[in-house]
Amino acid sequence: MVFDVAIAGGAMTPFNRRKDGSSWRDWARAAAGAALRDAGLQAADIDALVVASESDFFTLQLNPAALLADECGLTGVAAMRVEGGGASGHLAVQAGAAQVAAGLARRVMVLGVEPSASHLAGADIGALYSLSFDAWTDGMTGVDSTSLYALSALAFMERSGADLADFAAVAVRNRAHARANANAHLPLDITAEDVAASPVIAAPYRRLDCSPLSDGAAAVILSRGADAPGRARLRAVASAADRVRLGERADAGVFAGKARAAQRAYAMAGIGAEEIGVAEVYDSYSGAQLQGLEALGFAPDVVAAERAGEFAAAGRLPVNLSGGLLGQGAPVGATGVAQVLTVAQQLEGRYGGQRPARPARFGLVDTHGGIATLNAVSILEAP
Amino acid sequence: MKRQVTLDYTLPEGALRPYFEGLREGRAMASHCVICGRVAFPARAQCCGADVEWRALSGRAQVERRTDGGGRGFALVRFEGADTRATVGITNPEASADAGELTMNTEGGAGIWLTLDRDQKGGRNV
Ligand SMILES: [Zn+2]
Repeated sequence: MVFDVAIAGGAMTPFNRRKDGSSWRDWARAAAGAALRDAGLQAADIDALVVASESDFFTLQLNPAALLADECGLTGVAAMRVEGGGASGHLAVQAGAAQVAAGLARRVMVLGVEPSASHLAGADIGALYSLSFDAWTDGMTGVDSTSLYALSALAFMERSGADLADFAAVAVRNRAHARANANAHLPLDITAEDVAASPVIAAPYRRLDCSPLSDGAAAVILSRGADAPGRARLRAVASAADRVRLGERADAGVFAGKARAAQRAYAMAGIGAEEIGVAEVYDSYSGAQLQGLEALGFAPDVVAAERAGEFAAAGRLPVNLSGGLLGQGAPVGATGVAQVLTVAQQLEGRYGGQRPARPARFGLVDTHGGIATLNAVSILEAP
Repeated sequence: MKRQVTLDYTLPEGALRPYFEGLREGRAMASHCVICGRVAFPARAQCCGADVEWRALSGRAQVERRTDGGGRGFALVRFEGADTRATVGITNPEASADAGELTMNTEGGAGIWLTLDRDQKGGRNV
């Protein structure tokens, strides 16, 4: 069976901390309406809705798929919600794509939304995030996400030779990319010295090595290719779960589940990692971007490639031109949807922010929940 | 609008009850697989598709990785006799030893807490 799914259109709201009194329902409606306009469609053209939202604790709304179908004028559509921690938005796109590919729906709207910044205190969000790991072992020690990522990063640093300067380079570059992105939460003009001077959260990670908590929404509309001329195609959708407990992994610094998802995606697309020309990679932390690039098979020595500038805008494989989570922000359910939208628009040559030096034929989207525990990898192709 | 939600959970521990009872008493109860021989701490309810047996460890652990910030410390450690590593909270983050001992969790939760040795020569503070 040919996998024939296109990104017919999409839109996102700014990712930031809302101070204007708007609600997550407003952002979802805005993203859904703008996505329909971008695709040249009406609400009546949509026959299924897949909602991504990480936690009812953030929205204080159970059964959000039905609510958002109603809010967005999609009454009567088939609706479901997809959840997979940080990967929720991307997994929702993959679930929607499966519906189109199977012929169960002609046009699916995927709508991701999360009020990760303004609805709850940061400490409460942090306590909820710590339940993204094995809540019965890690979560109840009070270990936070940053500490677990730090323990993993330390193992990666020892094996790969990556150092704090490499991590800081990622933190600085992604914020610089974000400066060309009107929707970005942290479009910062910073230096490695600023990163080194920011407060320690969990060594080796400092404040500027961490992605922010953001509010926002993003939507894409999926259809068959023939229904979306001139739009990017999804060539592969793959995912894989890893051991949940960091301590049960053969190497705490290796994102093995991500590597498995990537291998499945390359096999499904029938291409190799070297054919990817642009990528949005899950940089929840600066070091995690390098660990992710390693797992995605982008270089035999990812640290050497990073130092050689291969992942910069002018490099062989520009990574996170949107700013990534570090620069664009991270409203969890919306994050993966926005990553897919960004890569689709890059391949269509209509991305509004920083673009690769050379137009790309294939783009990769990488998202995960936990500490690369549940991994989603998709490959898109230019129209 | 303002909303406040207080949730008071009771979480039955099921097949892992011996492990959690051990933690509440300051004892490291590991799972032992009679098929592959793997000793897991934190324990697992199943291994190789079969139920596990229980085995008490000494409670001593060696620190492999450690992170600190905001006055708190967490570590990836290996408990003596275990084939797997554990993520633990450090009760005395001011200590710098690379070994320590499982400590009873006074807050009644399920986390694993390690008290590091007072000095590298093996003097203990428990
Ligand atoms: Zn076994």
